Amino acid sequence: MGLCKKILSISFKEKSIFRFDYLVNTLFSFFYIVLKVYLWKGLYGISGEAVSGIALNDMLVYSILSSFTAGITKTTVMNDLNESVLSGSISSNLLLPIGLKKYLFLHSVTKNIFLTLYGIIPSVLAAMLFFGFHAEISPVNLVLYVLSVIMGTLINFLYNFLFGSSVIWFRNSFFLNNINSVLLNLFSGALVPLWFFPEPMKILSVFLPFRYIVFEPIAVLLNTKSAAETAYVFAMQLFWLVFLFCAATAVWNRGRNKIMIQGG
Amino acid sequence: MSLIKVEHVSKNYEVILQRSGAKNVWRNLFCPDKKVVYAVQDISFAIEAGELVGFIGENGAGKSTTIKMISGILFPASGNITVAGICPYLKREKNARNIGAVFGQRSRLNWDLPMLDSFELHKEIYRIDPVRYQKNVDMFIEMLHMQDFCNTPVRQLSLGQRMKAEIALSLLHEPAILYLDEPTIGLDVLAKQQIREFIKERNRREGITTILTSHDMKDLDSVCRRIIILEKGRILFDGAIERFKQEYTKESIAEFTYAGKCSDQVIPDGPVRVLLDKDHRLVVAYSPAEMTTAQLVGMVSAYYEINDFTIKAPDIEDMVRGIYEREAD
Repeated sequence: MGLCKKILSISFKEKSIFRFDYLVNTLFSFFYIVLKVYLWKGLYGISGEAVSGIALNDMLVYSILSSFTAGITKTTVMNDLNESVLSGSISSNLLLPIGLKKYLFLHSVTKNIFLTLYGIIPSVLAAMLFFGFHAEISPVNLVLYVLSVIMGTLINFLYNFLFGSSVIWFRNSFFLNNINSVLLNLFSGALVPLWFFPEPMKILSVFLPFRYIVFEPIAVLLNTKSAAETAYVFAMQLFWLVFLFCAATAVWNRGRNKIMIQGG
Repeated sequence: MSLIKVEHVSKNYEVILQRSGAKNVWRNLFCPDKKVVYAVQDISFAIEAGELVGFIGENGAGKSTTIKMISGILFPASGNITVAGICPYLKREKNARNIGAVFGQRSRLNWDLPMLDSFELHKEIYRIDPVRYQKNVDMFIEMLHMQDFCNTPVRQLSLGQRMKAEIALSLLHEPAILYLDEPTIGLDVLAKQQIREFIKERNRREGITTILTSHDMKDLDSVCRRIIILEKGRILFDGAIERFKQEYTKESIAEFTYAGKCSDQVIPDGPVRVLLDKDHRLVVAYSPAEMTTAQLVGMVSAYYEINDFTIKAPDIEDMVRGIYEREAD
C-alpha cells in the first residue's frame, strides 16, 4: 500500500512538470467527446427518432460514458514492454525485488488515475454541462460499475501484457499494437455500442474479452441488466481475469529466459 | 562455501543478419540468416564474501553478460550459478533484495525528478526501515559530496553527479553484494577518484562483496585485489592483481638523457634492448628480474655520458594490451 501511494505521488510530481501537456490533453479529450456527440446527432438525423430502439439521449449518454470508461481502463503496457525489451531498459525493472507484472500494473494504474483526474473527469463534466443530458444512476449501480471497471482494467492490462510479451520472440510488436487498438475499439464498445452490431459480430464479441472492458461496465451502470445478467457479467469478467492472468504468467515465464540485453 | 559460484556457464545469442539492398527485403522478411554468437563460453569462477573483484575485457568480451547472469536478469544457456545459496535467475525477486547493481549505461533514476524522489520510491520497493533509510541517505550524501545537487532534477545533473546518485541508490537497502558495470565510464578524474574511494570504503567497512567491470585499468588497479580477464567469452586470467603483475611484467622501460657518447660503440643486444636513440635521448627495455637499476645505469654509462634517467614500470594497461595482442596472434 505504501508502495502504491509512493508511485502515485511520484507519478503526480512527474506529470505536474508537464502541466501544459495535460491542459492540451484535457482540451482534446473534450473535443473528442464533442466530435462523438455531433457524429451521433448527425447519424440519428434531425428528427431524433430512436434507432434500433435506442433513443438519442441514451446514445449520447453511452457515448460520453464510453469515453470515460475507455480512458480509465486504458493501458500502454504493450508499448512499454515492447520498448523496454528492445532497448534493454527492462534490466532495471528486473533488478527490483518485485514481480514485473505487478510493478508495471501499478505504473499503469497511477498513470490512469492522473489522466482521469486531470483529463477525463473535467472534459466529461464540461460535455455534460455543454450538452445537458440526463441519466438516472442508482448508488448500487454505481458501486457495481466501479467494481466492474476495476475488473475491466485488470483484464485489459493482462491482455496487453500477454501480447506485449510476444516481443521477446518477434523482436517487435508494432503490428500487434495496431491489431490490438482496432480490436479494442471495435469489440469493447468504446467507439460504437455493441447494440448496433450485426448478429455474427455480436456472437463473436461474446467470445472475446473486450466487451468486458468498456461495454458491460456501462451496461451495469445504466441498469439495463437483470440481477442474474449482472452476476453473469461478473462471472465472465472473473473468468477472463483468471484465464489471462495464467496465460500472461505462463508466456512471460517461458519468454524470460530468452530475453537478450546487448550493448552494456 | 563461496558466496558466488559460477560453474561451466555459457550464454549464446541468436543474431538475425539483415542483408542490405532492396532485392533482399523479402529474403530478410521470410528467411532471415541467423548467426549464433557466443557471448560467454564455459566459464567457472568462485567469489568469497567480502572480495573486491574486477572484470577486465574488451568490448564484447562477455563482462556485462556475466554480470547480468549473476544478478539474475539473464538466464545462462547452460551451467549453474549460485549466489548466496540461491539461483539468481530462478529466484529473481529474492536475489534482488540481496544485491545492488549499477549498469553504467542505463539509469535507474527518474529523470524528471530530483534523485531524492527516486530514493523514496526505492525505500518503498525494498521496504527499508525509515530510520536506517534516513541514516544511509545522509551518509551517502556526505560521502559522495552530493549536497549541492540532491534537489536538482536528474535530467540536469552532470554524468558524474548522476553516477554518484546511481551508486548511492543501489546501496540504500544495504545489499550484501554490489555489481558495478562500468561505473566510471566517461567520468572526470575527480569523480572517478571519489567513486573509487567510496567503493573501497564500503567494502572495507561493511564487507560488501563487490564485482566491478571497467575499461579503465586504473580503476581496477586502485580498487580491486583480484581480477578476472575475459576475452571472447573465455577467462584468460583469474587471480590476485599482484600475481598478474608479477607474471606479466617481463620488462621495464628506462629513459636516459645524455650529453654525448663515450665511443662509437653501441650497446649490444642482450639483457638490455635499445628501443630509441635520438636527440640525446635513449630509451631501453630491460628485465628487472635479471638486472638491478644500478647494474643498468652502470652498463649504460659505459657507452653514454648520462645526465638524467627515469624508470617506468609498465602499468597494468600495457600488460593487458600485451595479453590481447598475444591472443590475437
